[in-house]
Amino acid sequence: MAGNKIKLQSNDGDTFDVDVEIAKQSATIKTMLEDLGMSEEDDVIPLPNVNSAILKKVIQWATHHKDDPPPPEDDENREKNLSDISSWDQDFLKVDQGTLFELILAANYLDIKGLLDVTCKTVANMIKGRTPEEIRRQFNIKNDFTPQEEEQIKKENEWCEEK
Amino acid sequence: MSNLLLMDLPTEMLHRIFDELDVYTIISSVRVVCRQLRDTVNSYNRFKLKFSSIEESRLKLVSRHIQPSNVISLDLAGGHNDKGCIRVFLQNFNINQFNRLRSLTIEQANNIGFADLLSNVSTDLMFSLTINARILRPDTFSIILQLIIGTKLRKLNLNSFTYKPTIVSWPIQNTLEQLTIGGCSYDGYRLIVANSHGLRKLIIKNGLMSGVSEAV
Repeated sequence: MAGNKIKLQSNDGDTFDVDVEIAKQSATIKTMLEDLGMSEEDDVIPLPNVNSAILKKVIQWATHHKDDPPPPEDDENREKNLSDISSWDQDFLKVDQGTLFELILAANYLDIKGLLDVTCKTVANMIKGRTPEEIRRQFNIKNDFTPQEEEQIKKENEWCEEK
Repeated sequence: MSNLLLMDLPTEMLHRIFDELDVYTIISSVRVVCRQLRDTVNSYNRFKLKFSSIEESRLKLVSRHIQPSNVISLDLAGGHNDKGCIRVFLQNFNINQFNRLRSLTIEQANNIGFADLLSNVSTDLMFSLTINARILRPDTFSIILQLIIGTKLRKLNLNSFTYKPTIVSWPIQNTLEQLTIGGCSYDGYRLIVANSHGLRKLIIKNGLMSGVSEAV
């Protein structure tokens, strides 16, 4: 039924009115509504794993993608094409790293495949083509290998490149 | 604004990010960033090896750090054409150990090792097989038919191959849901449709051909 709204509540207490069809892009919410028989009219759906800022972003994403065709069931063998992120999604994901990782967690919890795909691809793009040291700098990761382990790693890589 | 870091993500989510990376990046870069990422790579069990994207020299590094049982998809089409992709692969890996393969893509039936690879690959979990070969010798085609009969293969893609049932009949025991072939005679089409009860999608790229009697 077009136009029906539900209320989604973030873990910091904010409530958002969202079109049912938009909210149903989340398989988690879809299951709550359809299988558990929650009513669309009055009930508020609490989302204890998502804060207000992230929920707002998720709703913005789901609203933009409301008319997308459903994702294919079987993409086991799909090409890894990291450039297939739409320009709208690229702009949408120009956020700080923390927000990007929060969006990954929210997309996973809410089970929104399209959002999980595009956020994980974005992180993968930040890794691809970079050396280990560049990855450490990019994500603020400390190198905790011992000098001996480092030497070992270096040898392995050199040995393989030479052959 | 959030202070969440990459390393705060649960292993499951890091693995989901690895799904979007090529195997060489995971092994040569991500694995050597820090201990936690090394452990996360070591517990990753859905590698997709695509050999056209890895130089031969780099294969050695990959082969030393990947357990074949952690590979779910193998693509040996393209790349290393001068030497034969399959031969280079077989020099670095033991195909018998790839026991969790769900998808296999190979090309050129005349490559050394082609029949060897197909006969020895584990098909327990395989659901998708792609073979890019214009001509399949009857013995090679027999191996493929054995795979169709003996496995739970759901997707078969023989996209440059023309099927004519004159010599080899289409097996009735098959679990195919999706079949792509290059071309097909009308007799072949009838046989495939009659024998494939689970088929939901049949793509004949170049359409039906008249039923000329020729060898497969």
